[in-house]
Amino acid sequence: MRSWLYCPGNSPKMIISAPLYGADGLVLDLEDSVADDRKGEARQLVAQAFAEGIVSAESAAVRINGPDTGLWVKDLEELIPAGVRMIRVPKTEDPEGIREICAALGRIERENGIEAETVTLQCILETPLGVENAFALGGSSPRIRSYSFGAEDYCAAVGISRGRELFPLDYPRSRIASAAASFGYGACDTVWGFLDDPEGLAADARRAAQLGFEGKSLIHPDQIETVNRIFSPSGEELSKARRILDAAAVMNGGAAAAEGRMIDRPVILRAEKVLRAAGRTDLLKKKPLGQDP
Amino acid sequence: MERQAGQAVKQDTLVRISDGDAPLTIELESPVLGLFGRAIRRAAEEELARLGVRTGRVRIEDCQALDFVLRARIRAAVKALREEGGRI
Repeated sequence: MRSWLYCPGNSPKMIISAPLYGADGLVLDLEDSVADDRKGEARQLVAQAFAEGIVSAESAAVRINGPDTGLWVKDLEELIPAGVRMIRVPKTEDPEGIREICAALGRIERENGIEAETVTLQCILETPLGVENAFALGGSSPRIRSYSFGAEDYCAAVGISRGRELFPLDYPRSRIASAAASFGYGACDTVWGFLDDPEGLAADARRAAQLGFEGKSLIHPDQIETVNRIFSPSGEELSKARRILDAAAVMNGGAAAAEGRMIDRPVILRAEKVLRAAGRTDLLKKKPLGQDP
Repeated sequence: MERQAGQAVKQDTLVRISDGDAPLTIELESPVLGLFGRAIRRAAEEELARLGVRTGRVRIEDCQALDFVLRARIRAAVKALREEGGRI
C-alpha cells in the first residue's frame, strides 16, 4: 500500500469524505487526534462506521490508543465485533507488548465467533526502543503484517528537531525497512507535517522509497497524489523489469547479462517486486517477449 | 444525571441523555425535521430499543448527520451514562 491517510476518529465529516480521496488505505485514529474526554464517543463512531460499511475493513485500519493508556482493550472490544480487521498499534516497543495485545485479540475473536488470527497488526515504531527492537519484534506474532515509522515521537525522544532535513531519519528508517524486509513485512514511512511544502513531501517520500519503504502515512488528502506517484514504479522501471524477466526466462538458471549488468537471482527478485508494486502480477507469468501468444 | 456525545456541527449530532424512572421521551431538533424527522426518530428509537433503554429523556440536536453517526452518538451517551451509574 502506497498511501495511508490518517483520519480523526471523532469527525463524522472526515470519516464520510476520507474514502473518496483515492488513498490506498485509511487509518481511522483513536489516539493523538482525539481529545481525552472524547475517546469513548470516537470509539463508538469508528466502530459504527465499520459496522455500516462507511469504510471498508479491507482497506481501512484503526490506530488504537497506546499500550500505556489502558484504553486499548476497550478499543479492541468495540472495534473487532464491528468488523475492524487491521489494527495499527502505536508505540510498539517489545515482543511482550505485542503478545499482550494478541492475547486480548485472541479472546475477542473467540468470544465473537471470529476465526483465530483474522485480525492483523501494523506496528508503529516511534520510540528509540521500538526502533532498536525492530528485529526482536519480528516474528513475535503471525498477526504482524507491517511496520510503520513514527518520526515525531522518535525525534522528541532522541532530541532531534524534526525539520525539513532528511538525513537525521536515515538511521531509524534504514533499520525499520531492513527489519521489515527480514520478516516479509510491509514498511510504511512516517507522515510529512509541513502541509505548505509539497516539494519537501516529495523529497521525503523519495528518500523513504530509496531506503526500502513501500508507502507513507499521510495527514492531508493533498498529499496522496504525490506519494502514490513516488511509490509507484515509473514506466521506464516497469519496462526494465520486464526486460530483465524476459532475459531471465531464457537464461535457464545461473546468470546472464542484460541492461548492461549481470542478471542473477537478486536482480530477478527486484524486478518481480517492481511488477508486483505496479499491480502487474500478470506479467510475472508471461513468456519472454516475442513468445507471447 | 446527564451524559452527552457528539457535537452540534455539520454532519454530526449532539445527543444528551438523562436518566430517570419516567417512560422514555425523545426530543428532536433538526433543520430537516419536515423531510427526515420521522426517519431520524425511528432510527433513534431502534437504537435505544437495541440498547434496552425504556426510561429517561433523550434530546437530539441533529445537524444533518447520517444514520451511523446518530446511532454511534446514542450508543456513546448511553454507555457513558451507565458507566457512571445512571439508571436508564
